[in-house]
Amino acid sequence: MNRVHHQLKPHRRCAAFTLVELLFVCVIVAVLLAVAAPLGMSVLRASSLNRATTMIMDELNAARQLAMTRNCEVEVRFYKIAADTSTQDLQFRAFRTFVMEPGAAGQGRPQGDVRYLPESIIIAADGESSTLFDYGNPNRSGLFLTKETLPGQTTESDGLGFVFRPSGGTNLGPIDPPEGNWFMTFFSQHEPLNPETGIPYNFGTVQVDPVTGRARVFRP
Amino acid sequence: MKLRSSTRRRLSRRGLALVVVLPLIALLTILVVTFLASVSTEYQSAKSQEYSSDARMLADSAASMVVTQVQNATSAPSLAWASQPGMIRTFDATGNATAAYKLYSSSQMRVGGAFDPVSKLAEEVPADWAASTNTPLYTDLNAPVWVGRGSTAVAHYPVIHPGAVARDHGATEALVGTVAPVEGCYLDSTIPSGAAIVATSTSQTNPLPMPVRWLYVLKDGRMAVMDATSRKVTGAGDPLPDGTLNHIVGRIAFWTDDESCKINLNTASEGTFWDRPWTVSVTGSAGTSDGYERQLALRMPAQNEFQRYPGHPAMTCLSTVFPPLTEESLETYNARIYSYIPRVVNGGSRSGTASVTGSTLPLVTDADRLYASVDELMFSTVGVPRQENSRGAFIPFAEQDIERTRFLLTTTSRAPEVNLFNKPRITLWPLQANTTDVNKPHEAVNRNAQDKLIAFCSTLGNKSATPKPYYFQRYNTFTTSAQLAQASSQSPIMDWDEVPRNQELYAYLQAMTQAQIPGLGGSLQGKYPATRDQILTEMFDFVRSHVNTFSTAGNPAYYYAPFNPNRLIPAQSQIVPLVLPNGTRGFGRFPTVTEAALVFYASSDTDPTQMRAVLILEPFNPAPGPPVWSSHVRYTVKGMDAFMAGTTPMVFPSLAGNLVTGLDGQSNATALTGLEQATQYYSASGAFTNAKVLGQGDEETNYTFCSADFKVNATKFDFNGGTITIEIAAASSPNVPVQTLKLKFPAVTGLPRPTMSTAAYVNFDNRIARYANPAVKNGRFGILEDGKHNPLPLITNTDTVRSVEARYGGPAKGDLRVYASLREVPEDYFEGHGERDTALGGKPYDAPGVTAETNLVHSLRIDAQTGPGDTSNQNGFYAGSGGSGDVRGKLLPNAPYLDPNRGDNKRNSTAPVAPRGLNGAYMADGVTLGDWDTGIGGTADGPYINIADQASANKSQSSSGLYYAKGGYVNGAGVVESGASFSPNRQIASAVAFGSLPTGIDPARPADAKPWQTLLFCRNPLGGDTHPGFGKQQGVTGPPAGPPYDTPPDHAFLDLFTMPIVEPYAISDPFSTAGKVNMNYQMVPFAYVTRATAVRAVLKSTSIMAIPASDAGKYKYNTAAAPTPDYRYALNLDEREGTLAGFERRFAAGDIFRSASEICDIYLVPGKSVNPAQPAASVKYADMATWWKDYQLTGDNVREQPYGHIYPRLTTKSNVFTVHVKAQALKTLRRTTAGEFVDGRDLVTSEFRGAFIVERYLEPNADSLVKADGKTSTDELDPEGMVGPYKFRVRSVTRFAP
Amino acid sequence: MPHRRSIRAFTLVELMLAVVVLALVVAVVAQMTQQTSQVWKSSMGRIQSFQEARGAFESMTRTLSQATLNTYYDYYDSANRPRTVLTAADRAAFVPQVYDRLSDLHFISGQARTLLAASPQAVPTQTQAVFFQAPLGHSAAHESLRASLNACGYFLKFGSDEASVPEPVREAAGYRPRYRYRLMEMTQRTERLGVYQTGTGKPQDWFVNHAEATGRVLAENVIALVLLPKLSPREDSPTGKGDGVSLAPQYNYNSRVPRSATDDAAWAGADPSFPGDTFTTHPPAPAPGLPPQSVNASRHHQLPPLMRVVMVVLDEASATRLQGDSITSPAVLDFSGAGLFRNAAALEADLRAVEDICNAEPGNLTKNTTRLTYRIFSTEIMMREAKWSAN
Repeated sequence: MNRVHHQLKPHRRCAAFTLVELLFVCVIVAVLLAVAAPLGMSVLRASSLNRATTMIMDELNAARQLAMTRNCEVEVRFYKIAADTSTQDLQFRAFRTFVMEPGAAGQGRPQGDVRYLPESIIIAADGESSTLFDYGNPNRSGLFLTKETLPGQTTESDGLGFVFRPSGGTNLGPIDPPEGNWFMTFFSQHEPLNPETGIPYNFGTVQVDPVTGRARVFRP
Repeated sequence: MKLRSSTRRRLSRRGLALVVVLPLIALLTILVVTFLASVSTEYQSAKSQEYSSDARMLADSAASMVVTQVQNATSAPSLAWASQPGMIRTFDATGNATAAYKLYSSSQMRVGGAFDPVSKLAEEVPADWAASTNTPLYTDLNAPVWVGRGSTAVAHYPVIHPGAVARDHGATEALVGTVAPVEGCYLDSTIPSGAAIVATSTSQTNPLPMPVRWLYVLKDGRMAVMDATSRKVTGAGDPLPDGTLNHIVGRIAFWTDDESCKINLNTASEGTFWDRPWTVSVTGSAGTSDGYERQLALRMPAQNEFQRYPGHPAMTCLSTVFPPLTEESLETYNARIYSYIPRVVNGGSRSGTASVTGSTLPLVTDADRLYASVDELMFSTVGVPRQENSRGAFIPFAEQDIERTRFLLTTTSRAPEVNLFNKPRITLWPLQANTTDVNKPHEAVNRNAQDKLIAFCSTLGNKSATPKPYYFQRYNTFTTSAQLAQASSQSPIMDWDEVPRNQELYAYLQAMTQAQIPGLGGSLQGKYPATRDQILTEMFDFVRSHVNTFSTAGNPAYYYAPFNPNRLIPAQSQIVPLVLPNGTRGFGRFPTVTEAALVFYASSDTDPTQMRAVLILEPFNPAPGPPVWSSHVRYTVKGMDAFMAGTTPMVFPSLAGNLVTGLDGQSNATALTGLEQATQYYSASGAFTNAKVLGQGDEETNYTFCSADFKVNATKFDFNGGTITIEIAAASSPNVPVQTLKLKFPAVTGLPRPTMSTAAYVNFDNRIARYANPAVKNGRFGILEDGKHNPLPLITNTDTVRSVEARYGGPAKGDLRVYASLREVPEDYFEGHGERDTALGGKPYDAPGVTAETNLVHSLRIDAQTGPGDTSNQNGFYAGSGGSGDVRGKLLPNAPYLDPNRGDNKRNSTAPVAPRGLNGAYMADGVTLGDWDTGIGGTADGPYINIADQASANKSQSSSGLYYAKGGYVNGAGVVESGASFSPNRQIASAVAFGSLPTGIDPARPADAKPWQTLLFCRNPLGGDTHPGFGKQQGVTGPPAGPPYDTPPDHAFLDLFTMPIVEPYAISDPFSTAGKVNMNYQMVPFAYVTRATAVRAVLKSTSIMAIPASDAGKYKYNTAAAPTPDYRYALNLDEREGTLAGFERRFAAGDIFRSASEICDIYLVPGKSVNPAQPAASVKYADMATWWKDYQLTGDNVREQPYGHIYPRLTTKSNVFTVHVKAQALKTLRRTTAGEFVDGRDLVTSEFRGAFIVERYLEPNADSLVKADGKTSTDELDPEGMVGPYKFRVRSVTRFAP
Repeated sequence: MPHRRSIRAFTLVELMLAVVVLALVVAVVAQMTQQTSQVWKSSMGRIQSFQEARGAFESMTRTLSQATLNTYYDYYDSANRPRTVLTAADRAAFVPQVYDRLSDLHFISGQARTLLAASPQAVPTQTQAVFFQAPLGHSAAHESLRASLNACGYFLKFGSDEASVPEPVREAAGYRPRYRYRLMEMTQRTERLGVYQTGTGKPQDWFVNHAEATGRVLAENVIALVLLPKLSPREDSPTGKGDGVSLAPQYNYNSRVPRSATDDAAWAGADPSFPGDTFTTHPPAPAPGLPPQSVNASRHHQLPPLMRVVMVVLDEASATRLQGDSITSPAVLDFSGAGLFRNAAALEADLRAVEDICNAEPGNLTKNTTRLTYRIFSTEIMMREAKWSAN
């Protein structure tokens, strides 16, 4: 019996980790993570800001390229939605690209799905931080306001967008600096705000050149 | 233990491995995924950039394909070519089509022979082109792109905006939008199969599609269409030398527009019609109710008022595209248009609303830049920010205005200025040589600003060592008006002998007229075998003699003919006709003689048997009209010494010369100028002239054509008659006769002896000038300053007169142009009054042996304009002219010319200048009514040569304007030539000015002259369709509908000449002109879209004149009781029933115009009267021939004049093309069979839509005549030579990316 | 069971050991990750910055090739004045002497410091600049214009990015202005097209006064922009094998140099100087067999037939390294101080010198010791609208 035990034990040990062992490792990792939590959280947030940057930049670049390749107008539209159904905190968190197909009037054809920014990342809606959303400003033109029901939603969402022209440029005006400085700033909702600027210390800004349509990112 | 520990160790190692490996794998995964994602984004973006450059390169290949097509079509020297939107066609020397080169993507790019776009339409574009199965075959080049969204979405169309196009002909609704469609732009529902192509369906939502074939581009660069049934592209999938398959890499679709079918913003403006007045007109007080003709005289265009110059491109009307708003007045509207057209400004006559006087300053053209693109029309040229140009009072242009009209406007159109032989045209503007070596035109002097530019425009190889000018040169000119010595204008040979280039150009013209005409067929030499050289000489001489004979406006001022801008000087504007070694002769501006009258008068108060004879010559100048001229000639008469009264010699000198300095005479611009002047001599002061004294002394102060006193005892006497020879010489070379005429006075018996009159004019000394009462001043201008302004009583009814006059039944049938053109006029051309031709009820001269009872037998005409108090009872003719029953010459039989009976004291005779007895100017066949000219202003009609309009003087003493004063007073306050309206383009708009040059004169055989037959440059000659000027086709009666011709039409001459447009800037380059509009507006293959807007814009500012025969009593004489109406009509431009119906007929026959001169084959259909109070003409195109039968009083020049305005603004060829391209780079999927492309499955990787403007041009400084290879240089006489080498460039690329 | 448990349990030592090892491994991995990410970042940065530069280069050359002068013919008087520039009174007394090209537009390229010397706001710049008009259809109020004229220009500008950086970024705590050489694009929209402004100003005011104000950044870290108007080599030398530089021997080219002027008065004192109007070219023989002849060509109102465009770009990392916290342009990039890009014939040599500088080769002209990552973009573009003729 003992022998059998003896024979069996190493065999079993060699065969695989036990659940307990795995759990144990996980616990250790968890503990380690917990220890590194404060650091980790900020990294995580930074990474979601990174991801947001990449997402926005990709979308804008792809839209511009699409406009130039397909020789049609391409609109990038940003939506004001709530983080989840329980809140009424409507913020710009999602966007989508529309192709104004040649020959088709009206709303254009959505290109791809609605893309949602990582959780808690929002784009500032005020004119100082995001001139690209400064819809009410009479000196600015080229912004379109829409309302539409997004897939999976029951209510209409406000949308605000601008258009890349087939030339690669945009329809934004004015174009002359300094008024022609078009950008949007995004940050995590949960971060503490810088009292001077009204936005968190950590944020990203994407600038769109109204004439060339090129997007450039700033990460302080 | 050992085991345990080892196990434990192993366990810990394994745990560690797990701990290490798991996160590592996780990290690596993240890294790889991120990397891959990034790389793929990178790859995608690089790829799409590559693709988009692919599409752009494919589009470039479309442009180069068009360039190749154009090059192939236009590089054969022996073929004529004509372009139209979408196509270039070539024609050979028989006039037949050789090939059609398509300028749009199609399965067959070159089609041999003729091509009918209408019948071929279904083949080019099937009705189901839009079906989803046809997407790989056809594509709509005009497919819109929608911009914006929802209710604000706007469709942008790349080629033509349907908002400019009417639903159908005559529809007031555009295809889209609420704005009215543009004039002349519509969908033509009569084109078969057009409707099906346009019909909208689910797959075709564009109301104005322009479908063409896709051309697939293969890897090796080959292009082919996809077969409609097999869905294969020829050659696709074949193996290539490198082992790969020749797969499809892209496809292109294109269509080429012809820029010359659009209105050029840099040249067009808004024309206000102007022409010389041809009839009298209602005159109102203070000019308030001036009739239209009178307004033309008073409100002539000022210098630089290009918008009123006949033939200037600024006459082309933008109002076809941007019509005036309802509340806008004409002048406000025009001023608005001028405000945005570069270099055109309002001013001068202000669109014909203000008088132009001596104090009117030349317009100063603005310095506005030229439009670089149509879109620039949006904005004013200056100011920051630039304001939008206005589309009405305070209404700025909107983008939509530009968008709608872009298809109709251009800034780059240019048309080649070469003839059908692809060789240079000869410029109508003569230039001064004035060099020691006239073959070095750049060394010439006495050229003003315009001259220099014209010279530049008309010289081949400007900067080469041997530039070849294509203009006629004058050997010399002068910078002061007084110089006369050795002036080539006073020599019949200098401009030929001393300027070898003129001889070369003449030879060139001979070569061009010798050859079969490409595009038309036949040759002009074949048409006029005996008279071709004479016609060419007339043209050469016309240019030399009647264009630019003086310039006081520019710097330097120069004079070819003697000229003084302030007063008359001897030989003012007189030009000796050119005589060529081949025996042909021009007209110059020089008198001939049409009648010689012998006046017997009683010369003694005391002795009734004593009498004396005086010879009076009636001169005729076929070039009447302003500028005023004065003859300075010497008439020499030989043979009068044989004249006897019975047996008594009259003692005439055997040779009598009379040097006439025709300074005096009011009518210094009429055909008959000179009769009265022959009796007066010129005092050096120039301010006053004196009468000559009868006698044979100094011919300057004596009237030498007089006999001695002789006595006849009986009350009757016999006159033996005899032939006299009259020689006419220029005063500068008085012994070199320019013309010799022989006139035979028949013998007559029993003439009544003249009796002494009780009137004041007994003595002929008194007759010719001096009023009997010395207290009263001498007569001037042929009238007496007696307070009544009676005409001089050259003949009284106590005299006996016998005359020899031009024979209406002779070889020339009374066409006095024939007389003027001959160096020696034979006896046969004259007759004693009624001697040979039926007297038509008048008194005959009296045949020999017949007793003559009538004392006065002559037809001498008074040229002077008498005063209001005239009591002389002479109405246009000297006393006793022809007797009371004689028939005055009539150009139009049965026309009730105002010719009150002799003895009537009204001064309103408007009888035309035609020999007595002529009852209708008939051509040689005796049936066809011939060509004669309407006189300028109030001048009588006659056989004139329609000289160019040099009347730039703006002041005459007569308040009715220069064109009505038959020359103007010259007593110091006379004609003042300030140059206020000088312009080359105003003087001669085009070669249509040659239209009154006779074509039937064979100088070697004066007996075979074909009278009353001149060059035909209109569709509606008085003689109708039997006029010999029309082209002929075997088996076709009447004028054929179009080429080919066996005998070419006269208008083929027009093609050999050009008038460059050098103001306000160099609109004409060497051998090209901007802003000309293509007559071939039909679009291939889209024949269902009509775009006649630009042709309408050309025609819009022109009006035609039609004078009914029944108005012969008032067209030249206005009274309150029977006011002279306005005879001009604006054109009805309608495409179905108006003028453009003529164009549509040509297109309907599957043909296009090969030469712009073919406008002369189109009736201009009248519409509204220029006088709103008068009814509009109501006639359809088909009925025009009949309609004109009611308007036979319209002279040849007046009929042709509107064609002269239109022709220089039209073309049939273009140098600039816009290629509308759609190019797609394609990528076939692996599973697609090699060589195929499946729409919807295979990928379109990128697309380029846009337009290339392609220009065909000559290097202005390196142009020359070359052979077909484009390299070997040759000369103008080489039939294989052509202007070249042409280069091509892409002027601009506009991407369609709204 | 106890036996088994005792075997299975970790000892504290084991645990500690495991933790230490893990920590070490994590540290090593972290190090690796960081290095990888740094390499990654830098290479991405390089790719990205060169990608941006490539895009900018393509856009610049495409726009430049669309330059137009919209030339036409008119005549000039003996003082070489065209009619259009004269007052009404002068025009009445105008005595034409010759006809020649005329254009309302302007094409000028040359040393950027010279061209922008009079800019209201100083523009620290070097190498060349070009200013011209092209039918680009940029208009603020009228979006669908396709081909209305715009004034354009390209030049380098050294400075901070403060003006162009979005406000939130500028206000952020860590923001430090980046001082760099940048490729600037001037775009004057149609409504503000200043080239036709008549009046008291100088003819070059349209770009001198606006380049700085309306310039936008096209690409960063462009340290040299070389623009050379060229002739075809065929016309440049009697042998037919020239290098095309006789058109603009010192890079400077002004389409508004007055006709027949021996020197360009509008740019008097420029160093290097702007050439006069005429120069000698050698077009091909007029006909086979005939000897080729040299002709006097002129520059006024002509677009150069070709443009050589060269751009030297650093990557951001190199630029950061080079610039540090300095706010002045690095001395090692002072090409004009090194006498580079003044003589067109030496263009290739100058580029090699720039490469040596970037590679920190010993003995390079600016004594640079920092190796810089750089890329040279070079192309020769055909000026589509040029209808070049020898005179």
